Amino acid sequence: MALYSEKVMDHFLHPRNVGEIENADGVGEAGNPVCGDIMRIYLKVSDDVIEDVKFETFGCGSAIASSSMATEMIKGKPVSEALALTNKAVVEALDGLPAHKLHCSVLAEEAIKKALKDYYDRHGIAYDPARFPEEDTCAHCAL
Amino acid sequence: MTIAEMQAEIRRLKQEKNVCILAHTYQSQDIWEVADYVGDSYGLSVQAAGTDADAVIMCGVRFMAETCKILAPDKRVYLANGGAGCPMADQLDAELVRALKREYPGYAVVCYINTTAETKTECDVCVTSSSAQKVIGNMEADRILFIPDCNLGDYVAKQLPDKTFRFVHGGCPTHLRITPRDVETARRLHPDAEILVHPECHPSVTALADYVGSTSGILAHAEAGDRRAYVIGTENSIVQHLQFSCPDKAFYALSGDTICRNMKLTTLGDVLGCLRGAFGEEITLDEPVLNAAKRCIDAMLRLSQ
Repeated sequence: MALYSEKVMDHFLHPRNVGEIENADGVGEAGNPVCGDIMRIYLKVSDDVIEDVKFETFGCGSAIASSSMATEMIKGKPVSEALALTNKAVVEALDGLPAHKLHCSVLAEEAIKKALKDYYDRHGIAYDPARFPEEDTCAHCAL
Repeated sequence: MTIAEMQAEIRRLKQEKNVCILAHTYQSQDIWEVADYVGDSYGLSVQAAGTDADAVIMCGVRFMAETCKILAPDKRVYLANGGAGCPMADQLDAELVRALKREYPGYAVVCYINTTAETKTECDVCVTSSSAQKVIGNMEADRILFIPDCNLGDYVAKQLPDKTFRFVHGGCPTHLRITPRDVETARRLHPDAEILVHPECHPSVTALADYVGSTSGILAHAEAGDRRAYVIGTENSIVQHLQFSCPDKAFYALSGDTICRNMKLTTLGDVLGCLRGAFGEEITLDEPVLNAAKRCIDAMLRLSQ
């Protein structure tokens, strides 16, 4: 039986939104030396909407697919909706991930949240710190 | 036991049991001193293929021990610390490689040696950072799907402009911690030093370096060079090894973050425990996997002649 869904394969083979945004409004990086995945998310925000989003990920197939899907899910959305994105939603949109690769979706959520926090910090926008994760909080990676 | 006592016991036991100890260059100095051979992935694979010992202990990470078993299937091969893996080697499994092959028909699949035995079964040839240019240059194929490290792949592709390359987004999390800013800082702090980096670094880093090469290439370049100072952009154990081999020169780490936790797992105590039969993990591979992966590694050894 195939380990990966068709959607995971599609986003692994044809990742959307790959690259870097020069003069991004927010940049977030997540990674863990145990997993060996490094994700960096770049945001361009205009009128409180995610106008553009790009990612640079060096990792496994699931990490690339998670980054690709997560960026698709927040592109064109209000910042508040992007902030509400969960790793569970990313996994569902990919029609599932292998159990030992669930942490990849956690890293995608973390990288987006860090990019949004960076956007708030750069633009002097007040926020509730409790909404943002601590460094390297991927519970799966800490096992 | 002191380090010296432990080393003496290891030397006595390995002779008594006819065991060959292989150590990757990123291992610690105390392990280097008891190894029969120290080298990068390419050198280790050549040694593994030619050893006449009854058993081999690999001080490195899992794919290196697998490579050793593939090249010396009649020997007992042990990974000194069974917990030492390679995050990059785990990035692509056989299912993902099969999908890539369907996506890129007509491309020869070249994998970095930092892949699992299972992944190698799906690939045409493997390469190491020191052999990649020569092996791919000697291949008849001019369309290459290079996996999993796109940064090493990008560096090799620049040396072979007549071939067409495709990549996936894989890479080494340790080398990717080095940034162009680290290079700028090193230039300012050590203006007379040469900056030597590994091709697993991001292309924005290798573009700024004075020399790009495998770990054995970096060691040889720094040892033979006439500069008084060198900045090293690879796993930071190499800084210390160069301090031992060239105490009259100065060596600095390009980044304080380039520490590979997996390479640091193996200790001198693990090596002794492995020789005593208490620690270590014996590597076993199914015969079909071993044979298919061997074709991939043999192709590298043949094409790098």
